[in-house]
Amino acid sequence: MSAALRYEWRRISSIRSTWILIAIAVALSSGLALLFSFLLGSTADGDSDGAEITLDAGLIPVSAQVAANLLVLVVVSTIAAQAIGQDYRHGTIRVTLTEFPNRTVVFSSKIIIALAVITVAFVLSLVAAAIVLGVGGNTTGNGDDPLGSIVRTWLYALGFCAIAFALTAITRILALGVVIPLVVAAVLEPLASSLLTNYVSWLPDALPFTAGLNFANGTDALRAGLVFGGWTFAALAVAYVMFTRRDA
Amino acid sequence: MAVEARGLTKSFGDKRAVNNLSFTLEPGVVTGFLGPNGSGKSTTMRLMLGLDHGEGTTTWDGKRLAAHKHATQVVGAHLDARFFNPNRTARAHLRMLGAESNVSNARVDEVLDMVGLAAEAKKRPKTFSLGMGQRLGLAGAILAKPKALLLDEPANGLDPQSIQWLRDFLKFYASDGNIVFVSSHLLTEMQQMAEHVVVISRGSLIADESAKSFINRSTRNDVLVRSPRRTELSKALQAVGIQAKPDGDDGLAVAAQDTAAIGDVAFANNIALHELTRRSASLEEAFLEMTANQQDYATGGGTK
Repeated sequence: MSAALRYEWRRISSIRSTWILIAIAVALSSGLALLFSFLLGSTADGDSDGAEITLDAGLIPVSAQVAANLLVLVVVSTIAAQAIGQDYRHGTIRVTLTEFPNRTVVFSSKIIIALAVITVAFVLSLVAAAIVLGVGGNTTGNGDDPLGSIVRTWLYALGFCAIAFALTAITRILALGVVIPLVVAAVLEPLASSLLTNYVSWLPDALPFTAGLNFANGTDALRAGLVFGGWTFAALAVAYVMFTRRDA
Repeated sequence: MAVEARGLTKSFGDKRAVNNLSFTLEPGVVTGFLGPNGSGKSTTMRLMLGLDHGEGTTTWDGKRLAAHKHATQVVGAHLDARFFNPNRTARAHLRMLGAESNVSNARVDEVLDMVGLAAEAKKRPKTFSLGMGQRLGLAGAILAKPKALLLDEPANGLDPQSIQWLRDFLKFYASDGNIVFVSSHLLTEMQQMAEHVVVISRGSLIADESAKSFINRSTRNDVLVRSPRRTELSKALQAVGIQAKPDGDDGLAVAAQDTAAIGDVAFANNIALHELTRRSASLEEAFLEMTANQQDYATGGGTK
């Protein structure tokens, strides 16, 4: 397994796009934090007649949520999609599977290294957002259980990226692995929720990315976490079965 | 080490691409893998490596490939000259491939030098020619010094000097006690390289023997006899049971390999000979004869 992890690390770290995507994620988080800080400051000025908003315990959780914003997630999920999509795109999956005939090892090492790199991107994005928000002196949010909030947001980001990885493995098309989660999270789920809630009241809670967001935000976290985790596990399970059973 | 393929079978829908194929690869010689286009050569190689799922087994030194601790030290495969990320440098590509066996950076540079890509080590292969891609693929295959090489059409896109280099390299690699299994449609090249051939057509085995015996099985092996008294010589040969047919203006193609017997008949009948030459079929001729009417993608034969 260690050889496969080493192979995957060299694969992911030897292409510029990995580093570019991490840089974009950090820049995007900083930009969003700046925008958030500006809007918050304007609102605060209006509401409290120039009163200074000070740094509080909500800074880090809010920064985490900025770092796991859908736009940032789309960027970092591309790293996950590339982990397997580039192998199919360039035919190197056959080289990889010749070196490592055990496909379970290949699948595992790809997801482990991709999620590890995404964790680094998440932490860097979080730190960048926190610095911007801290310098701005503006933050809101729930200061209770900041660590739990960060962990939940981090897990949501990992789940989102794992789904992108799984969809790429299933379709063998990198672009679909990135676009499908975006479209589902940004368009289809909000649409389905607004149109069908009156008929199927439980539907919003059962949708993957809605549940993921609720989990990250701590809204009925346990149930939402189980739903989101279930979707993520199911996507990975289907991807794993197809990866091991199909011709390379 | 020996490689044993047993009962390899693969179907795509209704089409049987590989049909119960069994053969053994021995070390020390280059084994050519021949077959018309679409005969199942590439599919067979993928089945051997476990890349495609089908029936049958391939054992490498008695074990399945997945059972070996370091697969790259067992077999190095080069299946396509474009199997690399065009944005990863040649050296980084090989360093990645070397991770399985923890190959040193010095070995990576040594292999790049060996295949003539030392000057291109830091370049991204998106600008590589087909021939350079072949060299990079070969470099990846030999990186961990495997005991077997599987190469699918490695000479495609190579210039004559590079083909000669490839031929010499593969013969040297085999002579070092390794297995070299190489498919190619360049049969003239294969004749100079392969001592053993595995020939398939429509997924089924046609031959698994030494290249020499495969060629000797061809009916195109004959003797050319030229004489100013061709008709009389033909009758004299037929009288002793040797079949001959006209060949050119004054020649006879004799379906026998014993030139001495032909010379004796001519001498006994006082017939002068101007030429007495044994003609051997080439690998290409033998291959075409053995696989006649078995090509899936044969042309209609007409030209306009």
